[in-house]
Amino acid sequence: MTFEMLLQMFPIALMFAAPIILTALGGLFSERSGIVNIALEGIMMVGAFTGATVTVLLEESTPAAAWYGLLAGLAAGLVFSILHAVASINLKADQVISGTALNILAGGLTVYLCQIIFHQQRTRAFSNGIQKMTVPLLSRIPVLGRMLFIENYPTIYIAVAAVLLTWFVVYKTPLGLRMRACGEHPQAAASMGINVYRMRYFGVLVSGALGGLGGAVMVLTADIQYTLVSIHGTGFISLASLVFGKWNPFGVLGAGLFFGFSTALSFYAKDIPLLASLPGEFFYILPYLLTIVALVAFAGKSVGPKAAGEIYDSGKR
Amino acid sequence: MKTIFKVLAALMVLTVFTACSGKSAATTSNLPTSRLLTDATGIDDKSFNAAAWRGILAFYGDTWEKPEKKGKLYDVVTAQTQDMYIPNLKQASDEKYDLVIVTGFTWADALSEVAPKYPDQKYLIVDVDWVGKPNVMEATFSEHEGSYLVGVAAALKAKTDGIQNPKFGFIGGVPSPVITKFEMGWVQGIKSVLPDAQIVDYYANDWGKPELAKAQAKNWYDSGVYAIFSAAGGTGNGTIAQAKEYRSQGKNVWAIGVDSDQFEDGIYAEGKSAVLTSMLKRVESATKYALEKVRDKQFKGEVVVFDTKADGVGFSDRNPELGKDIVDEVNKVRAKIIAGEIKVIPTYAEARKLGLVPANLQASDN
Repeated sequence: MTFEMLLQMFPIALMFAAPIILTALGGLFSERSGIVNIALEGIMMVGAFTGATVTVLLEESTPAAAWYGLLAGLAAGLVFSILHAVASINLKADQVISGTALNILAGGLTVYLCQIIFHQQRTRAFSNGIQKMTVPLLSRIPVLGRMLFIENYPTIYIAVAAVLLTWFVVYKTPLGLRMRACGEHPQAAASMGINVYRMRYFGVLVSGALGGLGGAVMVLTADIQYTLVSIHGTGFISLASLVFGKWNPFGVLGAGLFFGFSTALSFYAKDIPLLASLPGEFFYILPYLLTIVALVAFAGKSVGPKAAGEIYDSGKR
Repeated sequence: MKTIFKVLAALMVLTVFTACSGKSAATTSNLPTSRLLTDATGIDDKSFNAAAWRGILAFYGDTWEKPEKKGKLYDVVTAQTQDMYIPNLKQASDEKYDLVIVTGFTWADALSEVAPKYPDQKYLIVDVDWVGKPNVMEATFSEHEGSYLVGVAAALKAKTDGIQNPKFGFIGGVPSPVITKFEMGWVQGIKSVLPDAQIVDYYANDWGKPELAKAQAKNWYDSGVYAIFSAAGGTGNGTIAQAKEYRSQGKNVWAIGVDSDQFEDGIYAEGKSAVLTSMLKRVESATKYALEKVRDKQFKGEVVVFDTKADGVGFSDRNPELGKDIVDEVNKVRAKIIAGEIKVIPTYAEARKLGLVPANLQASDN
């Protein structure tokens, strides 16, 4: 394996990683507040559909159409996640059932809207998604500049910024502390005067926004249009990354990068003598395999938020 | 993904409704009546089913925007889930349409089961040749011939552009004999122009993962691959996405479309498309042909091959960058295929034995 190849691998691996990291961070907010959000897949689909649609509709009038697409995807994910919030927080529905319902709804809804807007079961193809860019100054750093700052999708910078921001909000602000308290022991939090409902709404809506953004990022960097299979399970991979990253923003960043690099590696493995003999499927399995290993290793040690998935009952002690 | 189909199943009720309303297929005119049954993607998939529908419209003299005789002479029912295949087939047969049309190999098992129960009912199935019932016409396409033509076109373009040692790539969906036909045709077409051209191939093992094709396409374009042909459904979108990205940066690389003309999918700037040409599979030829046979009372249960000669496959000359010289040249090759002067081998085993393709491809014959 030449060094040149490693450098070529970076933009691809980072393209795979960005939507996973963003969506997994969304899952982090939701679960830290005590709501399991398996609707991430559906939220990504809604974000991807909206992102692609807005890009297609705006690209004749503005060169920044794809960026508006990202924003629209974020907003759509947020709005869509309100359904999950209402069902699981106010109506005290089982969070897994409500999430599943959203995942199912997303497929039907997006295709139906495509049908109305574009008269076909997918969006029209957009001419240009998010373009690769080179960061001035930083790109001159030897080696590192080549890897991270030349010809990369800017979406990875958004993802890394989101990681830092998440870390700050969750661990360094009163808001984050309150949100985490609601995910660990909501009754105790309530006894200290924290509004559990409001905190959980915050967690779910932020997760909707990040998931929607993740979906839009995915379709605008890897595809040419939104179709029913554009997301194909990436929301669930993000959930796995959340577990693999131990519900910690930096862990999530590592897990997302790991998923990205192992997928990218499958395309370059045949040029690496040591790995060439392994079948390509090996690299697809690797992240999932390690997730299972991680799950088994953490079994018994409760690393996740304690109250995640539980219906909040203010009378419970 | 499967969960999505479950919600679509809820829409099944609607399908049943539509199915019932078409019951009184009028027989006032001397044209035969027909019903098209499609898989869940429906007739606006811009591809396979759309083409089948166009053939039906053309036969009845209607247009896509104004299907005036729809509901009187012909209609369409979309099966949202595979468990609706047999009920949909039986219902159409009970309602005695002159011809029942199904598209795609996913229908083959259902049709094999239903067809013997309605010996007087006529059926057409597209893309399948193994049902073998006296009342079933089966249409297959010579995809290898169409792929040969786009291979020739891409290689000629590389030659015209003066590319040194151009390489060519093929991206397949799930390995199968049909996809092998695409790959074999593509490779033989390239080799007929550039015998020493290096070929690389990749199977995504999935029809819906564009990011895999995009990653592979980037990897290949970076290593000197000039054109990539994808026969991989939605996965192939990734190839087009990468080609668009690189062409808009000024790199001279191409994607090749498949089944329908993908010129528009490849547009990256005003009038410029990263899709050099597309291998066309004209499913409309098959539906139109079968309806004509029914009308002329010549319908037989047989396998009909739609090759270049029958205009079942071809190539698109819509991209102006292909140039008149290359289009003329490819048309000459097309004429030779029709005349039988050029034989394109559809299976990997035979093509390899004849030394027409490299020995390290991942194509599968079974």
